Amino acid sequence: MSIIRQYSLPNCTLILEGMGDGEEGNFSDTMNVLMNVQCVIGSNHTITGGKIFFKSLVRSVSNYVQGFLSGLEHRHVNAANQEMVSLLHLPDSYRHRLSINQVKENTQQSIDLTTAELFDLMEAIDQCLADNSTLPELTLKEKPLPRKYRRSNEPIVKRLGPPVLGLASIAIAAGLSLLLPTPSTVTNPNLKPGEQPTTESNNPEEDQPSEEAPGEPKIGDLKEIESALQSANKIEDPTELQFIQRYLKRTIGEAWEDRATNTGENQFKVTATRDGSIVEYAGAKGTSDSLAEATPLPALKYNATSKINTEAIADFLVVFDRQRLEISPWDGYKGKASFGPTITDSAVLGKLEGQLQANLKSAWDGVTASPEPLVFRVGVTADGEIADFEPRNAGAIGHQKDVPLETLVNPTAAGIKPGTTLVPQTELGQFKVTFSVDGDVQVEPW
Amino acid sequence: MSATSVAEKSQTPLVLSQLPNFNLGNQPCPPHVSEHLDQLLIAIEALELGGAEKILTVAKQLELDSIIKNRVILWQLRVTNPWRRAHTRKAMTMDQAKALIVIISHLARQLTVKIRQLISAELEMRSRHLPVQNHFQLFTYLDHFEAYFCSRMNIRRTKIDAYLESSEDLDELALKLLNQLLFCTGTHGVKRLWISLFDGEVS
Repeated sequence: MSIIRQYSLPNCTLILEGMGDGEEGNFSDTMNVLMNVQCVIGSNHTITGGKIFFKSLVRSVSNYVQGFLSGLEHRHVNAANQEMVSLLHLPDSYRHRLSINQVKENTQQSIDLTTAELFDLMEAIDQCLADNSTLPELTLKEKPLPRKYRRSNEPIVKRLGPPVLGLASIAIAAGLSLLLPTPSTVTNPNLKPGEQPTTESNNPEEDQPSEEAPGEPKIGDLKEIESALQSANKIEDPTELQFIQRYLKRTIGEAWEDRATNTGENQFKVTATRDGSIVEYAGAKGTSDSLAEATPLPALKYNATSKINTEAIADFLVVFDRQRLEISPWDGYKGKASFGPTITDSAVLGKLEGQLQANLKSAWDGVTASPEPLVFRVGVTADGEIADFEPRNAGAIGHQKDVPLETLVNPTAAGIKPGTTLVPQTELGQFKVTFSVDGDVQVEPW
Repeated sequence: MSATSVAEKSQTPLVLSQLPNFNLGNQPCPPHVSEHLDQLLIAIEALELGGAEKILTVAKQLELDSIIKNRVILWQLRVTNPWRRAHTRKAMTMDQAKALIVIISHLARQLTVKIRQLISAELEMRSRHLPVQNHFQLFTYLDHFEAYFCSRMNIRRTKIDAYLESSEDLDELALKLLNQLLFCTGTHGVKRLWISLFDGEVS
């Protein structure tokens, strides 16, 4: 007994003609054998075929739609299977070309579909796939393309730029090096002045020390660093110490990504220079040096002995306590820390207060996930630039990224330059800024 | 509360079981997925004013309120989009991404007529070689989309800056999202869109 199923959408009608499984006396309505398919698209396009045609249509439309949605082409899938039905995007006319190749008859039929027609064709197919009484073995078998087919967002010309430039620089450098004169005689640099160069040693072991990699610190170097550290000036100004401490907390905090793996309380003595560079670190209070490998300290360490000789240094106790980071000066604060030079003129402060409130209000979208208000201390230059800020309550520490201070802050406006100095060089107006949960911003003098 | 911990303790709602899981090699939901889902939500908000409220209502109707409990959690999920100004570097869980896509598809179905009208209007304007902005309804959609996009995305990112420089590119993005919303109104639409989100992401 022949069974006909019809799926009608505004731009597409799909009619399937087939039979049940043919068993004697089985009059169930399930269509198991497909004989003929007719698909009317738009007002005047009809495509017809048999089972192979329909399966190919389902596969091609599914693959194409997936590619259309994700932006990754699925053409290789169709090409590999030599599909009877294929789809091609025509970006200029905003259409999709559906082609049917009849290899046996050597004919090709193609229809240009609009996006709405393509959707209706897909929907007719999906309704058929979802219908358990029509071809139950046919289901949606889509899966995502593996990573190797991912396409970069950048055009190929842009992606090829850096490697080509790199190769070109090597070629140019190699060319230039040919122009350099060959050194005539090489004297042993380890010889003391006045000593005569001897002939090359026959014992290869004697040459070992000079073959050490130049980047590796030698024992002599380490001693040099230690003595340099001991002789260097200690920073004791509490204001400066506090600025270095905040800078370290920020840089180490940002660099410390794998916090989840830190289970214990690891303490280190960290030596930093005036500009915030970490020059030395060591395990302290029972923490072994090797545990530093799990922290961002090795990555942040500044490798130069020359820096220590000339610059004042300060020691800090850095504690990686599970997911928390605590930093304090090793010898504590000797006196009260200030916020650097401060503007005291009340007229200027009044003007800056209004300006800061307006700036923050327009920059903040008023949304925070914090359950309590976010309180910050904000330092502003006489020109109204935010040069320094510091979270002052738990809400502000936890949800600092909800408010636009990180994007607005411009330390260079007050002469603060990591690498030079961390203390403001110009006078700053200090304000207490409260971002409330309902989206309001309050600014008051500190 | 972190966004990643929201759904861990609750049982997976039944409506999400229609969407398959993928082998991502122990990685959380890729940032590209967060980005795409947030963009689709912006497109829905641009189609219908008050869309943000509807998202929460639909979450409740579909019994997804165990995953999207309130507007704060919804916001936390949306700022996993790396393009966002308030991006938090957190990732979504698979269940959270599934909940969002089911809500997107449900809302898109409610807006089918409007989406179809806009898509046929787009085609008409294109075939007459007229700017899409000249069509009143399309203009309204594109204008809302641009306003939402500009107010929420991080303009310091090069990609966002490029979009803001050229309104044609932003219009193209809005129309591409509109087409994607049409495809998720279908019978298997949500599944197809879900699978396409992971194209080029699975190992």
